[in-house]
Amino acid sequence: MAFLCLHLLLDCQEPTASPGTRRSEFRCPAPTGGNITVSIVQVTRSPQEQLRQKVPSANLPLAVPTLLPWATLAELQLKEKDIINQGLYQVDCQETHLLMKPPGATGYKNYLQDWALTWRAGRKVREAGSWAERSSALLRWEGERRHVTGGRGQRARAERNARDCSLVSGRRLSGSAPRPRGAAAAAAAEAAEQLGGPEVNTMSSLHKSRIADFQDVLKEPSIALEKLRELSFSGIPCEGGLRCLCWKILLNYLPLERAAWTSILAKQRELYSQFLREMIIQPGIAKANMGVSREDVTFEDHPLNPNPDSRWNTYFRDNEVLLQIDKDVRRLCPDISFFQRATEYPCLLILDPQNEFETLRKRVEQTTLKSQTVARNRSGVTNMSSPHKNSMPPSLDEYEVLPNGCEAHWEVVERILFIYAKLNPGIAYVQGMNEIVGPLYYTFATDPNSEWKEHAEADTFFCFTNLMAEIRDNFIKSLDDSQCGITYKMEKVYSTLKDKDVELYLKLQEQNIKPQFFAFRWLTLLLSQEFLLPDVIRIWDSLFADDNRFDFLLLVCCAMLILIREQLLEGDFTVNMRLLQDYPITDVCQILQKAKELQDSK
Amino acid sequence: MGNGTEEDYNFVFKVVLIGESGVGKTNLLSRFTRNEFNHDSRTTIGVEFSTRTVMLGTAAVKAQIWDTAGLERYRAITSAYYRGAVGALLVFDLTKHQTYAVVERWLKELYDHAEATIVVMLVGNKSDLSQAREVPTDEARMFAENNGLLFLETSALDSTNVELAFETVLKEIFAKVSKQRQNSTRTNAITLGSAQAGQEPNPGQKRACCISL
Repeated sequence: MAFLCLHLLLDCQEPTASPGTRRSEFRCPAPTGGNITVSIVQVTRSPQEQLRQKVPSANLPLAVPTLLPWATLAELQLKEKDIINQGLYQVDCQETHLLMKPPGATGYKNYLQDWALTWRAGRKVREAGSWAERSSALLRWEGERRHVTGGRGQRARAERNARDCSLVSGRRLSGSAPRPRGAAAAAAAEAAEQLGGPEVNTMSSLHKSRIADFQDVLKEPSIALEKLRELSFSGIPCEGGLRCLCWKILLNYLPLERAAWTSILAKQRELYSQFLREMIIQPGIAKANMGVSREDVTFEDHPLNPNPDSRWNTYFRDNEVLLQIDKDVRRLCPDISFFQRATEYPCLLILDPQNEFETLRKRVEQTTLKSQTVARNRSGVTNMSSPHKNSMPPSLDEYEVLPNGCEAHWEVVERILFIYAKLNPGIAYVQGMNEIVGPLYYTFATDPNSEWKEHAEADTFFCFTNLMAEIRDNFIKSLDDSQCGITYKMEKVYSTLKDKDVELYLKLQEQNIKPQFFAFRWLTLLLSQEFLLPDVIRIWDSLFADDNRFDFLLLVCCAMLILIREQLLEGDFTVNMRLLQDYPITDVCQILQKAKELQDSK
Repeated sequence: MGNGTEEDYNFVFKVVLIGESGVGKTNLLSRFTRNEFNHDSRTTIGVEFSTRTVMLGTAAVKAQIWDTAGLERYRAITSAYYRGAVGALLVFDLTKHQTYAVVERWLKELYDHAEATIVVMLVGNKSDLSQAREVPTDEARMFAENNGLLFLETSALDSTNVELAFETVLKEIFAKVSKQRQNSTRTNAITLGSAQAGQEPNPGQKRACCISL
């Protein structure tokens, strides 16, 4: 029987079971009545069991990456029969990079039970605590079946009604959720009622028809951008690499003419490897002990050359940028293990042991070493610690260092950001760019289409560059107060709010809650720190589909405020600041729908 | 009012955390307000905010702590956060000399934006990594003394001195406020900077006031 499953990374505090072991099985009530059987099956064995001894278990909840050596992959499996009989969503089997930290000593079983209950309850999970939220977001992602209702334009509306049924069906799953308000949604609700019948079939065929809609648009020799935007706005299915493809088109990386794709991709990917050669490989210092003549050390240019334009000087300046990037990418998306894991496609150009190139990894280690030595001199301390100790900077040993020839996903991201900084010296690297490139890279590096997944690095680089072309002003301090700067945008959020909900606007004004206190992060990072990665990616579908990019983002921010208006109107300054800093609603579809309403009510 | 977070307090003190990126400001905040530490906290973009109420003698003091981004680019934005601050923790990483070398610049920035009477503590964080120390305690202490700053070394990771650091700053502010109070004939003569500091606008009812020193 075909299992429909989710992969889970489990913290194996219990003795490691052999692969294939059924670790747990339990039944839980299905929303439509009856029960479903959930089993958790071990997939892998913990690779580095012996490391367990090194870190006291008390520290375990603190450091997610250090958990990795103990983590094992398991599958949460649901019986297909149950899924169909109980009218639940079909969960597609796709690997998921979720590190689960069981709450306390009760272990993963209780937690998974919570998890399944969460799953059962759909999105009403707030009260179940943050782990439950995480899981629910995951589920929404894996089995994304809900879309923003409402359409852009009358003509398309009727066509979409059938598709919107999936939203309504989705809401049924959550039981008590109110019905969507928009006219299109109401029509869709009616349509759903008329259809009746076994709900699960309706849903799955609707989802299939949605995929087919995308495929129809994408198979045209010349893609209708408007149509693609309209579809993408309501969320792009992740099946068959649709999202990766759509993002590449929406971000102007791929042209609308299909025929040109192959050659453009080949050209750009080749260009990227040229960047790698020029910016990572060439400036690297050849290893002295190789006996290779040091071409980089000449009479004109050598490490002590004070000329600011010297190659060596550039090299040292770059290292400062690199260190900043390094610090930030290591802590990219700490909730999930994905970025700490080895990529299937390490950059062979750089890692080939034959070449002895200086990787960024080495460069960071050496630079850390150098700056320590310099610092010691400056502070006038004579008792230098041993070089051995220095070779392992404290910040590095918290992370599992992958063996040579392997590189973690965060190292790929680091390279992308470093090359971007080199090519765009005016802006170089600013903290926060890591949060922009993260979701892009994640999406491309998990592309089901392995031919494209292999080139995730190059593709991410160009899509990131294009995206940055539109949002880079947010990162430039000198533009803060200009028409295109962040201050202006933050004020726009408030002026829009004033339009849509003047009472709430006045309340925030009265409490002197400035948009800088929360909207700065919302806007600069395109909401990537406010929600879990799967939800961020869903939001980005809509943002990228916006033809006046990023006007819709302002509306999303407004919607976020309006959706918690009752709480905000009641709360004091502290309560409200907390609400805005740690936004309480996890259902991004609800937010997007509200934003859409605001857009339509213009 | 409030969503179950209602506490009784006599004073609200706004305290800002400043210092270079990566010195551990966010973890000092989370250790003090939630007793949490996270090896992989995300980079702070803009500002983060948390509160905790502590008892100083018989007075309940609500510490409103603002954690700001360390990176140069974000300083233009963060300057708004200094407004109304009565205390500051200027944090450096005692295993990275560079973060100590720029303390003076941070101090200047602080005095440019905040009131001159602000209570400032120099904090050398990451004392658990003493084997990698690059900034000698005496050097930092001397700098603090010369500049009229309080000084402590902390570890957000193992909690050393974190409570003490915040409490010392809060006590110092409290002492200043009490002194000011004694000097003034009436309690409510203390400047209420509520609008500036973004305070609960009901000082009469709650006696919550943001003190301008």
